[in-house]
Amino acid sequence: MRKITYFSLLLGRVWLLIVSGALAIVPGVGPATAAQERVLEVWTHEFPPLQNGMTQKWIPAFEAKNPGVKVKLTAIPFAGIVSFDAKLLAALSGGEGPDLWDMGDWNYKTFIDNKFLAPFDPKIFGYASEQEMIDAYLPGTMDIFVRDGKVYGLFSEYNTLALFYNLDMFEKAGIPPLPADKPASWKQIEEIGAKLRKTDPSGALIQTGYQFGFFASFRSPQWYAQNFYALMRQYGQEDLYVDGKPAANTEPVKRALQALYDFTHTSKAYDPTFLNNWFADFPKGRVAMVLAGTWFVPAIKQNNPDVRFGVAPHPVTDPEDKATYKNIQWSWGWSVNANKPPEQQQLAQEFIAFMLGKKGETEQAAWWFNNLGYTQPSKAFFESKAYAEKLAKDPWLRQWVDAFKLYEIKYVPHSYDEPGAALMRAMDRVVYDKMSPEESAKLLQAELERLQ
Amino acid sequence: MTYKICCLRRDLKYGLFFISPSVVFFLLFWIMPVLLALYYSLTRWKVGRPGTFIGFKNYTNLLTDPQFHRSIQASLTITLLAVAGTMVLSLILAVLLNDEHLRGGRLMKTLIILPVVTDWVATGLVWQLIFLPHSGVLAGIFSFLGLRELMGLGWTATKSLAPFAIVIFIVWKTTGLYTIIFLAGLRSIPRQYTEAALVDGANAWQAFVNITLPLLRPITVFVLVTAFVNTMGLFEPVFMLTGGGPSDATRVLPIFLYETFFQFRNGGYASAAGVLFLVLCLGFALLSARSLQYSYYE
Repeated sequence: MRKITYFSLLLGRVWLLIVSGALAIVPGVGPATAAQERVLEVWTHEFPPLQNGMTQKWIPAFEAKNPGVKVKLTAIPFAGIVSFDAKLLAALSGGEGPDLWDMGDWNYKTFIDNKFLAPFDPKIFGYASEQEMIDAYLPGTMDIFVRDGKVYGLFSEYNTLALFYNLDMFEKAGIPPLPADKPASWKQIEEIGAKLRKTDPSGALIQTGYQFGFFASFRSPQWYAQNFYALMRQYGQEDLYVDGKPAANTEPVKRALQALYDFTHTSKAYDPTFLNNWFADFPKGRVAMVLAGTWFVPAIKQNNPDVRFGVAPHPVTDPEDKATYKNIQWSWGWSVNANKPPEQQQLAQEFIAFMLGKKGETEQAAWWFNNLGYTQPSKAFFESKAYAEKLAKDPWLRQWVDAFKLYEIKYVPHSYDEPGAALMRAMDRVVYDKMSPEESAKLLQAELERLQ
Repeated sequence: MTYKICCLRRDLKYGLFFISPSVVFFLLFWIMPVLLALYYSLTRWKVGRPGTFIGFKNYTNLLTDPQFHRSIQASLTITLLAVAGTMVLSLILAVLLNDEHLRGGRLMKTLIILPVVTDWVATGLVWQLIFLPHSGVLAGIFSFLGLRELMGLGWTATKSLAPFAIVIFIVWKTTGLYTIIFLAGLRSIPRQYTEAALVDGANAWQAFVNITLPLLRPITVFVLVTAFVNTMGLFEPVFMLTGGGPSDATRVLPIFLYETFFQFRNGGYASAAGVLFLVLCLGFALLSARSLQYSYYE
């Protein structure tokens, strides 16, 4: 009997231990950690250069400047089983999540609708008003972050697309370099791509001429949408919806799909099954042309430091018609959690201002640009000495300066949503199933109508 | 008698105490999510916003949704192929391992169980490299065999091959588990039955088909149901190899659920699809249990 009593006591204590352990991990219930220490929790998607920049430069510098502040960084894979977007959405929906984070532009509409984001205080960034803050950046680039005059994000990265081509492959095939001041037509790119397609004696494909930014094992809605929207806009339609109604069974949509069909099946300049490694195939001479942003160069040089490449403007449907000079843009932005207390939101904004620079400051933007290829489209940065020096050193960057003068550049409204998925299916039907563009456009229209 | 009742009550009390963590865990992480999914399936709920009650609208929409139909089709294709492959292979391996005279049986068992204890994501990356056209392991094997025209096969990039690529990965990863279960079943069958049949003039094949297989039926039902339900719910191998593509050829139900919830944020619709998924698995389990009669031996 005595034994059992001791045993009961022991069991009771085990339960107590479990309960107290559980309580200790609940914020605000457990014992206090270091007195008065403020922790700023930051989430980013996994990209080693970004994590290195944060942990080796910006976090230690901010902590040194703000004694008592500790910045905790968590890097989450962008894609995969636990993807960054899904984890962020789940955390914020539950009223949790980090104090600040870096996310893709496609999330902003929903996140602002859901009131997940705290509006920025322009004074923390050295501006007198939101409008002054917006005007500090190139026209149209801040659109994605702004709602009802308030600013809900600020660039970690901004980019648009230009055409990279492998100079060695061009020279070997006797093809002259592409003009740097005038875009080539899609037809020209297709013809060059077909010439650069190569098979070995057994008929196995060993080299392709052109690579779209989507392919079988890299089903990125962002890349599907970027490639398609540029084409559709050049053919004369802005979006898959016109006046709020689905508009997929239209001439511009069919012609954009036809371009994909021709590249894949008619000329075979593009082979969706060929690419093995996005950043290795181009520098190693397996793919001759790709559309990419400024970040492409640091990444390809890791695979072949001696790669020789040229950069041409984004192709258009008719180089003689300026109305077809249309291109897309995308950005990643830093945002602040609206669920956090005001003082925490303020600290988060101070950290963002510290990393990105306040009004007129350009050295932060120069650091991001030089070290990660991340562009911040602030007017002050584009007019800075640091940017001019970088342009002199890497003349290919001129394409991104000229793009703003040459093209009408806009964000892509549908990629990670249901219409974006329907668009992916329409493109897949043409590329993989060899379905006629007319039929695929008709099915896309039906699917968009069903979603209404 | 009083003492016995007292002891029984005490035992019951301690028994309940000891199982309470599992019961709490089961209720919190298994029963509660199902009940919540049932509730949300009756709402129009965009993740991050409050839901509104809409009755069975999500279910009626699902029944006419071609994407959902295609997902069920993809799920059933991959699951049936994978389950058939796994069951046949694991039964053959179990029979081989059940041979007392087999040399290196322990090593074989270790090798067979190895894929089971590895991680889906890590092995998924390895299988990506195996399936790479031109430069992958399979391409190398084809080259070695002089089948150079097969080197460029887009295992994960063509609609017709992608489901097979996933099936191969699943069979490789799960066969070991079911081999061990079949082996346990085979070991529990008294040898006298087979020996008596052999003495009476039956050959090994006849003894296996007429004695061993019927006696293995409870294990076979267990493996069939477990393999079906587990394979239907697999997300990682598809996500790792094809992401649901190309052209939705491998967009199985778990991928449909994942995209609907996390990408499109349609919590109510995804919950309804999840409930139908549960019903499908439950229905198969019940049908299998009923149609395959149990056999018992003394």
